[in-house]
Amino acid sequence: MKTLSHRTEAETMNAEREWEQCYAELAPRLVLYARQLTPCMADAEDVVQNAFVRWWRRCPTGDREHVPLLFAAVRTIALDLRRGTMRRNRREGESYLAEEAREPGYFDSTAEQKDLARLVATSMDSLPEEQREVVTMHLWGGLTFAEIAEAMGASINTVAARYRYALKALQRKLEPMKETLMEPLTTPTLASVARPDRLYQSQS
Amino acid sequence: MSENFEPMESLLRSLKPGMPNPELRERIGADLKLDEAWLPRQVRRAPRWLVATGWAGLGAAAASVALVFLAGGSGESDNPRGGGYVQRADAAAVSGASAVQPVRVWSVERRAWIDPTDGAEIMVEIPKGNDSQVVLPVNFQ
Repeated sequence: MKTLSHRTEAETMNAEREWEQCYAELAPRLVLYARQLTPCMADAEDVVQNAFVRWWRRCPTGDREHVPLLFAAVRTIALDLRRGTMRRNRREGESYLAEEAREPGYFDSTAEQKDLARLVATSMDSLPEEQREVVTMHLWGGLTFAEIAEAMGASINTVAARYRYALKALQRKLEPMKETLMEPLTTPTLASVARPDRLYQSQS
Repeated sequence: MSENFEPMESLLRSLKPGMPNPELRERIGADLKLDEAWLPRQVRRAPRWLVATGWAGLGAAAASVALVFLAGGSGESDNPRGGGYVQRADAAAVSGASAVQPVRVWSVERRAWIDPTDGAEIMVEIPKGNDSQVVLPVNFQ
């Protein structure tokens, strides 16, 4: 019996470093996207784990052009998981709604952005799922409408329309705090001003 | 599209997605380690001298075959050793021996299994046909 190793130590190390770099860049976006389709963070991470492993085995170079495939994999796996959970719950007589209670906290916000992050997360939750998907993939996933359309199996026009509706809805929800919310982009002292309780007072 | 979503987009983009649990990275690492078929493989190449020697050997073999054919084609009368096998066949026919001659054939079956995950290779050689005897006509020899 003869055992041949065709791989050097350095090559293995390089390959591992590559997937880790790619993971560090993509994981937060993927988890955020998966969170739009799953009821809890644990499920979202499971979905991302499966999708990333599958994707990396097929595309071990981690090219940018293959990233839409990864989002598509996350979507497919998340929907499969949900179907399985629903089936199991129906069989066991439990309500899916109980599991649907979503955990907040999508964003890694600094102290100044904490309120904004919470508000955006809450507003996002009130959007229909398809709109949440499009917004997440476009704004935080960095995908184009064409890539999103491919990942979702929808037309570009549909995707663009969903995005438009979603941003309109978010704008409506964030409108009351618009002036203070826009400040963080220019001044770092937003936190002292952008307190939701104060902003809601002006709304009422 | 008449709406100007740019300020809203900038605001939303200013939020960074939360970092996942550090355990997730470890889980993915463990999964990828289970099957390392995705790792790049080094293509093994024969040494340069071996390739050159192989071609030279092939050329020499071709040349010697050509020489043998040329020598055989020059006619039986010109070359005293030319029709050696004809002479032997004739001799067998003359001496009244059988037209067929038993020939013992040995062969070796070689099987190789290569594990795609780590390139491990198992090779087994099975000797075959040690007991079987094939009878070939003399003309075939």
